[in-house]
Amino acid sequence: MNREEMIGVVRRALDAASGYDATAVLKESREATVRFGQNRITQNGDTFRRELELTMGTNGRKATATTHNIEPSRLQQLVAGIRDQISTAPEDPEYLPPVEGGQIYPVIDAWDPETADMRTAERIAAASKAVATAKLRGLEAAGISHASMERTALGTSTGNLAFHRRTEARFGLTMDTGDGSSYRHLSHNAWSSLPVAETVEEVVAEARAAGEPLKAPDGPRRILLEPQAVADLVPFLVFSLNARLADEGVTVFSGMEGRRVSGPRLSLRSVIDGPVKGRPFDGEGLPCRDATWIEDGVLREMLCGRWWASQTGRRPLSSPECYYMDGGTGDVGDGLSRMEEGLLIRRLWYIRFVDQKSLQITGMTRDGVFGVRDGSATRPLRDFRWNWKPLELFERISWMGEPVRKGRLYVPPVVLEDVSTG
Amino acid sequence: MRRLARRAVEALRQADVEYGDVRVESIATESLTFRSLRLSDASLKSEEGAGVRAVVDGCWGFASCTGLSESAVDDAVARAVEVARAGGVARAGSVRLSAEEPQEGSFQGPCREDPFEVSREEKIDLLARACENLHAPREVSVSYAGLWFEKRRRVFGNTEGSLVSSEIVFSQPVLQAAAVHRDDAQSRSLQVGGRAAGYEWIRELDLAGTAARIGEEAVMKVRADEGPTGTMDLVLDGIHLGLTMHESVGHPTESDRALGWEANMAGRSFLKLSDRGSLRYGSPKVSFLADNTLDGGLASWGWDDEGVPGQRWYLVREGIFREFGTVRETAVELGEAGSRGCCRAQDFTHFPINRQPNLYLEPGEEGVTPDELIAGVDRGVYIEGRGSFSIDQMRLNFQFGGDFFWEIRGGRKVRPLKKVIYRSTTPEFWGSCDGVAGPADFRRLGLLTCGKGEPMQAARMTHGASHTRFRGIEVRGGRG
Repeated sequence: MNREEMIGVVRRALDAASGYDATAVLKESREATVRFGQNRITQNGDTFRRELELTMGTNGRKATATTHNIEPSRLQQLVAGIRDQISTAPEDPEYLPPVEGGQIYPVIDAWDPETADMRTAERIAAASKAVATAKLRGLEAAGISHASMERTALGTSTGNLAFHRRTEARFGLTMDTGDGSSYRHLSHNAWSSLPVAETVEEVVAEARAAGEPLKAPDGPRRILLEPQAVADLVPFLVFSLNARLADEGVTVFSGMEGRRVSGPRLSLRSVIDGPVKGRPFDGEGLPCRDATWIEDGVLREMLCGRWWASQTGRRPLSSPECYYMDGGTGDVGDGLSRMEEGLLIRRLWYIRFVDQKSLQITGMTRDGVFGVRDGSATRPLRDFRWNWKPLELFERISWMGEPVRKGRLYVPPVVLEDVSTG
Repeated sequence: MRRLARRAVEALRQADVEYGDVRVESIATESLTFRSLRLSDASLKSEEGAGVRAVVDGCWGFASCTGLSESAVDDAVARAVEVARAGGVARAGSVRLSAEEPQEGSFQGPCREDPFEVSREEKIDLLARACENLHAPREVSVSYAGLWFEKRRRVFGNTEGSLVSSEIVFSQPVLQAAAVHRDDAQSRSLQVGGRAAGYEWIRELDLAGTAARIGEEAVMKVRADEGPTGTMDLVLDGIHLGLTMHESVGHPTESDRALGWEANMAGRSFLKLSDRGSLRYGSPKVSFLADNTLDGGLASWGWDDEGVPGQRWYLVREGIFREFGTVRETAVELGEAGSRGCCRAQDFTHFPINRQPNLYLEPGEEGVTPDELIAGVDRGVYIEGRGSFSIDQMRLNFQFGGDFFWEIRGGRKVRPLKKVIYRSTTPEFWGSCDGVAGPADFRRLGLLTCGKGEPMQAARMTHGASHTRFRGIEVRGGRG
């Protein structure tokens, strides 16, 4: 559906909920993915999904229902079902009416028409390039080439109407020699902006260099984290940036607003119309905005729902779904050239909290660990388990390169001093 | 739904595909959640649609539609064929499927009391009482009490003549309390997970009474001393082991990992195809049964998403690795006669992939109790429930925490602990098992959100074990 059609459905849902506080969100998404492994294409799909979510409330009680069916008769059934739910719901002490009318939403252009065309041949060609290259060089390739589009229309009974659409293209590749591997994940709003051919060659070369690994040395080391490894850590910081959980005493940020939580080189921001396009509004119809979460190591803001904001004097702040870590200049090679000795880590894997209160996490390295000597990655090392606290880790930053996009994040390579590898 | 499935299969035949199948699904869910004494979520969801697979020139094509109109399903068939043909043009195909007998029939899940027919007032009242009990201790800062139900109707048909259907109700209760004391916070939760069962199971669980215990134990945990560090023995309960076996047995025995199909995301396996029948996976006390016929099992669907019947077989028997779990494609790659029926998708919008079956550790001898296992430990830790978990992409090197811990000294549980993790590698860990309690002690863990695949999709399966003892494991107390 186009914008007008989707807004029309949202209006009809709000009309059907007339007399109630109401928020309606209609989403359509299409995802097309070619998947490959064992040097052959293993999946090729093109899926479509539509969902209408309607939340209604009155007299301090509310309920939600979701359906794929947007026929007018179904909307009446949907509303009747929600009314029934509301009639049995206890009064909600945190009830709020929908977001006040007259909201102004930022315009974010995250749509690439060519990507939205979802041409299968392009994705097949990218997968075939990876597979053919791997076969030719005696490696094994696995990965995905993926394109998706999503349209969202939102309306509230207080008069807000909003629409946003975005496309997303991704190419992920693992090359494996049998005793070493390398990995890269590319993402952009436009498929044409993904440097597939160059990346295939780079990943082949890196995988070949990763063979016959030795045990990683024990003890604190200088470590260069490639952007992918930094991107693997940052979501745990973001998860902890929750004002209510902090106030309830269960996260590392309890009582820390305005105070130093990490080293002065750590700054984490959201720029909703920056290099990674964010979303203009959240699921309640609250406009998203730029935010500075951590600045020079000091905790500045946290995600905060409307009700908790009203209780604590904060401004409501929803996730804009894009996060930007400040960096410097130069790439991984520049970072390497600054190291006499240390480790290079490409990717981290299976990261989980060990202790949420202290933001301690555990995980493994994956797809490339190297010993570094005199500015070069000289010998491949075996993967190892680590237990780290990212806030302490980022206190140890001695160099940062230029940020690059990794999924919904924009993060730099970093060099860290005296990091435990056990 | 059967009529639509027949229509889609006929359209696939008309398109002259080498193989085609369709899943027509109707999914209804209800979710109720209290967060810290207030009903924070009351939601219903209904969704219908179809997922269609086609093989053309040895290439897969998959498409899904929302809604069950004839035109939507026809369109999904056309797109699946078109996508498959695009692969064929690129000569990218090599799909081969194991030969399977066409299936007909229907499967009804073991639901005695339909949760969608239980009044919402009753469910809300139960959760409100549970929440009050979770919050009875003043140290409890945050709590969650919830109920989730799903009714899933599914019809599968393929061009080989299978046409099967299933209707299964899934239920899951949630109880969790986080207690804060001084500068620490610790949580305790109910961890039975989900089950293919109706509201009768919720009634059996005594959520209100269990909530009182969980709230008290959250406080006990946050006030406890941190765990010891060193090499020592462990006694692990069945729910804890459910997760350990999920990560270190269920995933490495997925055939698609061993073949490299998951190398870009979920990872590979340390197991080789040639390890079948010879690799020592654990001590002779260790036998793992895969069982997609398990009553109430989350992966007991009658037939999988390729129309292959649920089966029961040993993955590991008396410590020796026996067989992988397979789908029709991987069965051919492994040279096996047929699929083990492990092909499942999150729902109709996803391409079905090789998933773990229901999987459990066979109980020990009748009459062996957890207390007897603990009595045989001079210095160690007793662990209940799931906590932190992480394993490498080959499924060898792992680290697990837990939900609740007791120090064992001189054969007795002597005091509660917090912040305990243990580390091992898969064959070493299962090789150190020297005692498994009997069938009376068997506990289940139902997982609803096992993530795998690209795009990521969630799968469900049930695990289980009786209390089990392990010797000489590396334990790290404090914060690791």
